[in-house]
Amino acid sequence: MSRSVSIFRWVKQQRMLWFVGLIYLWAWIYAPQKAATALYTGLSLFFSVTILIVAVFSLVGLIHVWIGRDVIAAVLGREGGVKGLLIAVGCGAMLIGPAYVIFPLLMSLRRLGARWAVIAIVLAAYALKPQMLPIEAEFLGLPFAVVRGGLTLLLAIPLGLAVEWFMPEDATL
Amino acid sequence: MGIRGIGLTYLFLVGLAYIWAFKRDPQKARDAIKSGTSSLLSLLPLLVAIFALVGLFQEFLPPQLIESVLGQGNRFVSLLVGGLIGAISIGPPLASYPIAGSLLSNGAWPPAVAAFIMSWISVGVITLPFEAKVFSWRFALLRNGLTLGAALFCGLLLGGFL
Repeated sequence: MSRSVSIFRWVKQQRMLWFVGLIYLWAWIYAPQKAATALYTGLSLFFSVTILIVAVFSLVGLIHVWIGRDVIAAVLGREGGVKGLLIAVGCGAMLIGPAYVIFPLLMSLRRLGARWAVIAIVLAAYALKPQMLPIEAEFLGLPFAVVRGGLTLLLAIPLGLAVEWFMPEDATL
Repeated sequence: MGIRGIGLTYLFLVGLAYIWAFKRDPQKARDAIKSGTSSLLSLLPLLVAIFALVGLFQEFLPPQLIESVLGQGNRFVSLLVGGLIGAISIGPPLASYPIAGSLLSNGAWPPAVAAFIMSWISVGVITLPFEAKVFSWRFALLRNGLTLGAALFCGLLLGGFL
């Protein structure tokens, strides 16, 4: 297959980029100034997280090559039991950075044998944001922030198990 | 800590891990870099698209609009609207607190504000295609749907507590 054919196929596969491009085209016709500002905002946001993206994907590679499937399966797989689920709550609560940067990291854990509940629990507990608690309390009051955090923690495991219940165990990534 | 600070902290820690890895087994460390790079390259176009979409939403769905929609109407409708607006909004949680704070001080129903914050942080409609590409559409739709339900439920519970 020639190089140009493979590039053409690659470009054709980027449906999301095409979709966003079309929305921008529409926004450009409707409000060119706002569309330009939106593009600028989006791209500056992207460049502000480039370091984080590079760091996370470097970690993805390290986990993929270094950590054995048996270790992940034993701790975060079904063999891990309740302990694995509690570890997931702790990891989710501690993680910082945007959720979409955490996805590839969790994908590498899933590929190595982590159960679906662990992935969903990390993403649920991730809403706790303990490092933001003082700021949340400042804007919304301490009772609001504490009760919201408590409910997030309490619901993380049931939510993760509910997602897992609907997922086929053999679904590969 | 700003997003750059978080990035640098992550990079520093991962850098330390790589130094350890190179000392332990240079070939495996090189394989790790290759594996990370190929994962990044396969997801990069989608990431660029998502960020472009984020820009559009921030420009065309400003906080003032969210406030005007959420700050009025029937309580249960505002709970649902709070959850849904939180789901389509994107940005650091830090950006959601001032909006939520002004909603509360303007008399919005606390459960609706709680649902708004919960779904702002953990439900991502804009990032749904990315989540689906990484984990499958089934997982992405299930997780986001159930989390939105949990956000509404938490909102109601929180209203009961306060």
